[in-house]
Amino acid sequence: MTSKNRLRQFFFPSITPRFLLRVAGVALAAYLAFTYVLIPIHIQGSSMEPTYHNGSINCCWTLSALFSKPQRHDVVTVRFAGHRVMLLKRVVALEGERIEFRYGKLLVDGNTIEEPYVKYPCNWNLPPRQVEQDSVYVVGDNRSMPIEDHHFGQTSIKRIVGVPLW
Amino acid sequence: MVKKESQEQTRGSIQTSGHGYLSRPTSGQVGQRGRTSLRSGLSPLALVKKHPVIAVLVFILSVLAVLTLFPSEEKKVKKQFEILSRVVSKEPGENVITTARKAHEIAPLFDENCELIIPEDSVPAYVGPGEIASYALRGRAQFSDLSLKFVDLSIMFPERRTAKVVLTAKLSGKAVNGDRLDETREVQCTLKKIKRKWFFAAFEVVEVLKK
Repeated sequence: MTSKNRLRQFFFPSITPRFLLRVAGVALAAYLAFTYVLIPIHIQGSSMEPTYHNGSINCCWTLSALFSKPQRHDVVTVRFAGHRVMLLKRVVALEGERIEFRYGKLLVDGNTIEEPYVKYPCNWNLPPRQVEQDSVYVVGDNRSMPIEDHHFGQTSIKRIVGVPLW
Repeated sequence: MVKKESQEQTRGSIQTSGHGYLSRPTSGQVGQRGRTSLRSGLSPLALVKKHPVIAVLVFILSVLAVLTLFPSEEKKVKKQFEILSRVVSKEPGENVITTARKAHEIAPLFDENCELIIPEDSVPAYVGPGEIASYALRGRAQFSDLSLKFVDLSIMFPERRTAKVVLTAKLSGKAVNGDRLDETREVQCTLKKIKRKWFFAAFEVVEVLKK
């Protein structure tokens, strides 16, 4: 087979049962991969600025949530009823820990936690509270808005779908 | 005699049609075959064999007709959410007639005593269809455009006349004063079936992030 024929065969393949089977296999694999393993996400909102920008595209890697527990400083996706709409937040406290904000500083069990990813000024104050079992405390990186306007808090580990791929 | 000849010709044409698949028939022969199959009253199986494309089309149309004419309970429940989404949503520059029509459509979707459970409020509230309609109208009046979408619907039927639906509700829009609204909540809804129709009986907002 000449290179020209090969090229033609590649772009315009003959519709044989074997070819159709291969197409069906690829389509099924792509569907499963992009529905359950590597979910494409479109980031909307500025809650994770400047780490993740409004309007950017990413993928949610679900296997990480399946095989490991979330750690402090991990960025995770938190689901609502399903995978169509999710929240992108950072884990700042783990189960059993006491969390509070004092003049914008994050304190876990009374110790100040360094957060290099928080670039904008923050003056939040939140009284201490304990993270329940099988839960984590998640907050966005952008804390420049008033605390009432930011969507953050404790969530069940079961709601964590995965982590952004990059 | 003339009549007999024509009968023989007809019989001949039946035979021709029998061999039609083997030899390449002329357009005239094709016409004859079609007429004879109808006249001779072939069985559905034979018709499927003869006209597989038409048979497949008829089958697809029949399935679609059955699904449209006799929707499942799940589809009926989903339809209620579609209606609620449509009547609450507002296009920019919506005219008075559309607003009035939508206002008229809101109340009949709800049960006489609809329970509302919101995490911030400790006590559940019971409201009637009229109250809900007036809340919705007041809310809509504050927005120049409003969109309510329900996604990720998971429908269960714990009892014969009760449906439990867990979903994500996405409310977005632009207020008259220019402020943007973008709220997403997980909601658990209960619907009751009364006289072959589903009505919203309870809404509970699930707290995904607890401050």
